[in-house]
Formats: sequence, structure tokens, C-alpha cells
Amino acid sequence: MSEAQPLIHLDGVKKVFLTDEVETHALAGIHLEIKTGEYVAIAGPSGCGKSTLLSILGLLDTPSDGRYWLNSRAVEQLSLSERARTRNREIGFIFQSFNLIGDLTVFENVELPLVYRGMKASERRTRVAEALERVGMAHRAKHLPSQLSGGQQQRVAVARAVVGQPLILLADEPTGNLDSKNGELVMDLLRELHRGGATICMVTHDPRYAAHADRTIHLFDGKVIEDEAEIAAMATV
Amino acid sequence: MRHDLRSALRALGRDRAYALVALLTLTVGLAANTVMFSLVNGVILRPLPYPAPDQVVRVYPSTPEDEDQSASAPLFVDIRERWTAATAVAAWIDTSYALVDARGARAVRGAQVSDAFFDVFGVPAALGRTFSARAAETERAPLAVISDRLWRREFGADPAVVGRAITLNRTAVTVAGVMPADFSAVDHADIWIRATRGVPDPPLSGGDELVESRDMAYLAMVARLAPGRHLDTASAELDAIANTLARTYTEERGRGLRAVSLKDDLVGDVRPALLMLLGAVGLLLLIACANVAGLALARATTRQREVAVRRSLGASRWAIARLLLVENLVIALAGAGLSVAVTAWSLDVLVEMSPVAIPGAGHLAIDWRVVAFVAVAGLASASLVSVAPLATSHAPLEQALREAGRSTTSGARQRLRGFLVAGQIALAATLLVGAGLFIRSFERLQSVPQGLSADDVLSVGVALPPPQYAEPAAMRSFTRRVLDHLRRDGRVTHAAVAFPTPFAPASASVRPDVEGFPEGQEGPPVKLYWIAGDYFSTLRIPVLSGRVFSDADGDGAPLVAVVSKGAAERMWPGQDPIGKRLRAGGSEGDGWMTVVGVVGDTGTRDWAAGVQPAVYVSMLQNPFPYPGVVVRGRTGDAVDLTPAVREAVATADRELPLGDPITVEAAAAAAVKAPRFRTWLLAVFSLLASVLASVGLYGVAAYAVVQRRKEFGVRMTLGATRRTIAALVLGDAARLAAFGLATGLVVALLGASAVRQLLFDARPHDPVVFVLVSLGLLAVVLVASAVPAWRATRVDPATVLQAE
Repeated sequence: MSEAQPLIHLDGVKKVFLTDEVETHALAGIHLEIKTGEYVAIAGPSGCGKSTLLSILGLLDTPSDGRYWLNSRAVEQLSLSERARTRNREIGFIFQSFNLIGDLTVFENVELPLVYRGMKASERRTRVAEALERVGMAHRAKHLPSQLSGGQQQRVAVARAVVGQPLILLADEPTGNLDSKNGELVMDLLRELHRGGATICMVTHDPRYAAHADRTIHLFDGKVIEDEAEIAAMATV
Repeated sequence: MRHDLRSALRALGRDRAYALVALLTLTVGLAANTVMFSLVNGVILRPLPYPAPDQVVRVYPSTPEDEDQSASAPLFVDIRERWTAATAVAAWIDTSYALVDARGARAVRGAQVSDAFFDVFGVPAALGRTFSARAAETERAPLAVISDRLWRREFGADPAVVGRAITLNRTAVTVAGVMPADFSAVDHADIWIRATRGVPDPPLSGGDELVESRDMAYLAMVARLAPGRHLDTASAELDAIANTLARTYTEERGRGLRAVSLKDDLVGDVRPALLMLLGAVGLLLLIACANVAGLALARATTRQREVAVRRSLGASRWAIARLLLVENLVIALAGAGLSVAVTAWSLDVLVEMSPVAIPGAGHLAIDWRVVAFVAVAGLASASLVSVAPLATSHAPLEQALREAGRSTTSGARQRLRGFLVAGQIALAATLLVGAGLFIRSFERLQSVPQGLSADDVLSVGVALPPPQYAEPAAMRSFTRRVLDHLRRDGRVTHAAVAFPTPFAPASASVRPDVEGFPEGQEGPPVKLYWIAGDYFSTLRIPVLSGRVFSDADGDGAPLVAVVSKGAAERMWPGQDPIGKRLRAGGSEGDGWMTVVGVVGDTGTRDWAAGVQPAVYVSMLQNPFPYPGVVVRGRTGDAVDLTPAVREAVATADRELPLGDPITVEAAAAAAVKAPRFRTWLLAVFSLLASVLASVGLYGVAAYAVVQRRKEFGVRMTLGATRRTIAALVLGDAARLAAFGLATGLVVALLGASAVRQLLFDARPHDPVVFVLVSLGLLAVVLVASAVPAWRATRVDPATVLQAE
């Protein structure tokens, strides 16, 4: 990937929800670029459109208007199965409430994206073992999520997000359901991943965690009201 | 308890959808059981409507080939006089009477009975009196006892009919009494005429000669054992009588005597089928209970908060259990009430369809046994339905309160619901295999060749009453006039007169004397038909060689016979039967008849036996008093030929009543009524079972999809496509189905042998049935889980994950 081409490029992205004949503008023309290797935090108060933006970035939702290029490819016209394939190969998700599947073991949860990718079992085993090792959960591979603490569950969720070696990790309030100690541990883990080269885009409303990122984008009423990267650029100029 | 009832009613009122579905489901199961139990109760459990009914027995002369033979008059008299174990022995012969009054002539089903007939049944008349062997009869005037039904239908329930003379078969007969409405003897007659000579007359003219013949077997016998005498000792005495008679009379050699309780005689054949059907509806009720239990489990999940709050307020586990139990009791008892209503409505239909003809069957009713059964079944159902939610409601209070607000279900409940659905599928598979085996058996039965064409043919029974038609010439004249008239009728293409008519309940079997056989050796058993007119062309029975009867084969012409192919092969194997001679029942003169033709074999009322060897004699040479009319018309409804038959008979005798017209197709259908009845019922029950099981599966799959929305959202986020999600849901359903199906097939495989005796050409492990049931059920499973699977693919990951 060329340095000139951003990994994520949003141009005038809007999202309008229609409920009971009332239009709600969740996103009101977002312009955004995220480059490979960046660690970006999207911050803002509740209801400002952070999660909607993350859903659009993660191809879980489509914009009402505007353009979105992921890895130089326009994604608005992708079919459902192409979107699913893109999510599987290019995006890793980390949720606030972990979203591990209760009936599957830790190993099986982490293995799931690779299963959907159609990877051979032997290769999956190796990759899952590496991912679990990376987050320090290899010893719990056979446990069910209900047998783990919240912090452990989130570490497993991180392993699941990185096991497919995606282009970008999208984290939605990854510390929201954790106490401060476990929250810090997860943030350390993300930092470590970033140091290893991962591109991370994290939504958070907590300025302490936003501070872990290299760049923070502030949203308010569906608009970017402050982008620290732009400020820095302007300052450089 | 009142508090629980009030709470239960309120809870059910709030959750009307659950209450309604559970009520309907349980009603389906309970109603099927109540209906079947009513039949079992009426046919098997309820004693026959006579005093000391266990003492009433049927008596049959029997040989190893035929256990249930008729008796000759001398044999009946011997038994009556020698059998000390019985206080009364009676004989009868079914007869059709012409009741003639100012309104014209009507046919009445009746029986000519011996003096002790009513002594055997022990039921007094409701009006007037019966007759008795014990009463000192100073004269043997013709006496009649009539049924309540005939009394109402023909005499307007006029009590003054007692003592009045009515005209039967142009003879004045005095009505001695009217029987109670619920009285029904084994003969299903509406009128019982006392035999004037003490023994009923034979169906053929011949006077004392035939009555005294031990070869003329025409009587049915019934007896009442003395109080305290058991069937086994009474039977031993009968054996001794049979041995004595065999030593005395050559005609009685090789023949035994057999007594069987009247109840067993009437219901013996149908008992296994009824019990099998009762078992089938038992499975249906289990499916219904499992279905409602699954619903109750789902409901228990959504009521976790309510239960948790009640427990936090101090409700004991028993109090919670009682609440659930009372709710299910309310539903089950309401279902039981509805079942009784459904049963009351459907009993008449079932009695009409039922092949079981037993005394009192027409009065099947909902008695205390039925009410007790449905009450117990309802209680059991409520308990079964309550077990599953109770078994999974023991979570610690803290956990229950903590989980109450979440939309997730406990794994134990979901697994239990899955188990319940697998169980339903297993039971449905078992029932479907049973139904499939019976359907295949019925198909094979129906495809048994009967050797004739029943389409567009009508048959009408006619009985020629003795005084006017005592002489052969009168019977012969009647037959000719009827045939002549029908042949001129443009509506009729072929006409014949015959006894028995095709597939009629009556039949005649003989062992003919065959010329050339060693002295004392009888011919093989064959069916005997008296025919005149175009019998073979009417029924399209092929003529294989020689000729059939013509009008020239009448009185004074050489006696001739036609034999069927099977009969010819048995009597003259490898030889040309044309020109051979034989002698069979009632032929005139020296009786030797020359075979002039060979025709194809045909079937009888005993459909399963297929075609049987037969000998046909000319009714013009051997007149017979029951000349049934058989006519074929141009294509159309054969019943439309009734007026043509009526006119032809009226031309010959204006006062002669006709029996009920019946198409030969209908007579053929009646021959397979019993297997059709059980096949139909089993098919209906298994269909209901499949519907219930598929509804259960749908419920579990749909509920699981709702519970797993978030999981599907996560999977989609991780790259699962819609197809993957649909496959996940369908796969889960398929796994449940496969487990249930495999279990059900194994159970069916093991249980199929138990119904072997009810199957025609028994193939209890028919692979076609097992394969078709498997494919059919898998298709049902696919359909039932298709909608939930489709819903699962509609899950919007962004929405469900944001909702978290």
C-alpha cells in the first residue's frame, strides 16, 4: 500500500435514520482519512454518532450519502457477501461487551473468522495458538467464556480480532465493561498491537483511554468538530 | 388454592397466545385419545348389554380348514338336547321379510329363531313379551318380537301393536313384544320370528327332508352357559358330544364343536387394531405434551423476573411449582372438556365408519369410564407439561434476579427444548412408519386381483317369501320375468340374477361330489353361486372355454354347471373339465351336473383371500329364494339403475320389497372397510403428530433465533454470510431432526413386528416406508425451520450489537 493512499477514506458520509416520519441525522457529512499504522481514537459524548461511524467503517451499515474507500476500494456498491468477505479478511472487531459466543470454547471463538475464511484446520490451529499466546490466554483455550473474567474475555475478543491479520482493528468502547485495572490491561494490549504495526480505530467516550491513541477525532452531533491530526498538520504548516 | 387459581387465570389471560396454542395442542392430543378410548370402551371394555354376559357363547361346528361353520338342524337339536353345561341353546337364520300393509311392501331385516333365542340373551321385552323354550306353548302360532327401531319406524311407537297380527311374507304373524331400544342381538335383525317347527327353516325349499339332513348346514348357534359353568369345562363337554356324534353319523366325522365367548367372537378380530390405535393416540398425546412443555419452557424464560420477584418475596419452590401446575391444569382440564365435546360430536361419524358390528355399538356413549379416562389423561398431561419448566427453575435466587433482565435463555432450557422436539420427531416418525406400513399394506390389499369389473354395476337383494314361492316353479318364473323385463329396458346393458351377489356378506361354500372321485371322498372346497341371465358379461368375468348358461338351460333340460379355472384345476388337474360331472348343494333330480364352461376365478367378501375356486349352477335349474339382481348400465352412476330394477321386480311381483340397492363398487369397498378404517385413522393420527412435531420444531427454531440474534450479529461481523447463518439454523434443526428421526426409526423397526398380524402380506420392515418417512420428515423439518432461518439471515448486526 502506498503511503499516499489512506487505508480508510470517508468523503462527506452522512447517515440519516427515519423513525416514525422523523429524520435523525446521526452523521452529517464526515470527511476522514486513516492511514495504515495509525492509532486513532474517536471520542465524543453519548449519541454523537461514534458507534454509527464505527458501524459504517466496519461495513456493518451503509452511509445514506457520501463515499467510503477502504484500502482504495469504494465499498458502497459491494454486495452483501462481498461485504461479509471484506469484514472477514480486512477488519477486526473488538466490542464493549466482548460478544464471545457462549456455546463455543475460547479456542473455537478465536478460530471462527478463520473458519468463515475457509482456512485449513491445521493452519487455523497454528494461527489461533499464536493469537492466544499473544494476548496471554493460551492456557484457557478449552474454557468457555462463562468461565472467564471480563478482562480475560476481552483479551480473547482481541485475539479473535487479530487472528485473521486484518488491515484495521475497530474497537467499540473496548474498556466499557471492565474495571479500571482490566481496562488498562486491554489498553496496554492495544498499544502493544499498534507497536507491532496494527492500524487501530477505537471509539471511546473516556478521555483517559482516548489519550492512548496517536490521534483523536472528536465528534459532536454527527460532525467532526476536532481532528488532532489536522491540527498538528496545520501547526506544522 | 383459590389464590393460585386466580393467579393462573390472570397469567393465562395476560398470555392469551400461549394459552390458546397450548389449549389447542392439548385438545388435539386429548380429543384423539378420548375418541379412541370411547371406541375401546364401547367395543372392548363395556360388557355386552345382557345379564351375565360372560355366560353367552357362540357355538360353531369346526374343521381344521374352517373353524366357524354353520350347523345343520339335526346337529343343533343334538347339541340342544345333550349339552348340559348350557341352560339354553338357540339357533337362527338371517332372513329378509316383506312387511306388507296399506302403505305397501317394505323389506325388513329379520331372523327366524328357535324358541330359546331370548332365553340365551335374557333380556325381557320392553313391551309385551318375548318367547321362551321354557314356556308351555300349546300352539305353535307364528310369533314375532320386534326391535324398538322397527316399532318406531313402522308402527309409530304404538303400544297397541302388541297382540296385533302383521303381514310378513304374506303370512299373518302376531307381534308378541317390543324389545328395549338398547337391545341388539348378534344378528342385527329388526324382527325375530319364532320358528314354527322349533327349528328355523332352511333357505331352500325341500321341507322336512332338508331340515332332517345333516348335510344342510345353515344355522348359526348361540347358547347361555349355566351359572358357574366356565367356558373350558363347557367346551370339554362339547368335545365329548362331537366325538359321540362322529361315531354315530358319518356326516359328523372330522368335525368338532367349538364354543367361544360371544364377546370374543364379536371383537376378537378388531381388538388388536383398536388397541394399536389407542397406542397410536397415546403417542400423539405425548407429542402434544412435549410440544406444550416446550412452549412452557420458553414462557418460563420470559417469566424469570416474575418468578424471581415472587421468590424474593418469600414464595417457596412448592408455591412456584403449584402456580405453574395450576396454570397447566386449567389448560389441560379445559382441553379435556373440549375433548369430550369433540368426542360426543364425532362418535356417530366413527360408528358409521367403523367396521365393528357389535351389540350396543350403535349406542356408544360417553360414560363414566370415558370421563374418568379423559380426566386422568388431562391431569397426566398437565403434570407432564409442568415437569420441564419446574426442572429448570432451580437457579439460585441471586442468579435468577441477575439474569431476569437479560434476553438470553439458559442453556439447560434450550437443550431441554431441543430434547423435547427431538422426542416429538421420534414419536412422529414412529407413528408415520406405522401409518406408512398400513397404507402400503392397504395398497397391496386393494391390488389383490378380484377377477371381475365392479364399475357401473348395481346389485339389489330380493327375497322370495316361502308360501308363495315355496315351489321351484314360482321362483323360476319370477327369475325369468325379472330378466325378461330388464333385457328390454334401454337403461340396462347387461342383467343377471345371482346368489350371492358380488362381495355380499353372504356366501355359500360346498365340497361338491365329483364324479370319478373315490367313494366317500368329497371334492375340494369351492364357492357356490346360483346364477341366471348374463352374469359373466355383466361382471366381465372372462369365459375361458366352453359356454355359459343360456335360457335353454332351464327346467327339464340336462343339468349343467360352469366352473372357475381354479375349481377345474383342483377337481380335474391336467384334464379338460368340459363334460365332467359334479353334484353340489340343492341340485335337482339325481343332482349330477355336466360342466359346460370354464370361467375366470373371482373374489368374494373375503377380499384378502383373492380369487377363489367356484362352481356356478343355473338358477333356472336350481331355483333359489334369494335372487339378487345384478345389472350393468351405460356409463354413469350405477345407482341410477335402481328404478329399472324396481320396475322389473314390480312387474314380476308388485308386493315384493327390494333390499337396499348397492353398487358392486361399494360392496367391494365394504369388503375392505376394516383395514381402510384403521389405515385412515392411523394416517390421520400420524398426520396430526407430524403437524404437532413440526409446529414444535418451528417454535424451538424461531425461539432460538430470537435468543441468538446477538450471536448471529457477532458471526456476521466476523464474516459469516447470510447463507452461513441460514445453514447454521437449518443445521441445528437438522441435527435435532436426525436424532429424533433415528430414534423414531429404531423404535418403529422394533415395534413393527407387533403389528405384523394386522398387515396384509406383512412386510413390517418395508424399506420404502422407512425411506419415505425419513425423507418426508426431513422435508417437514426443512419447511418448519426455513422461516426461522430466513429471519436469522435478516438480523442486522449493527442494530443488535448497538442495542447491547
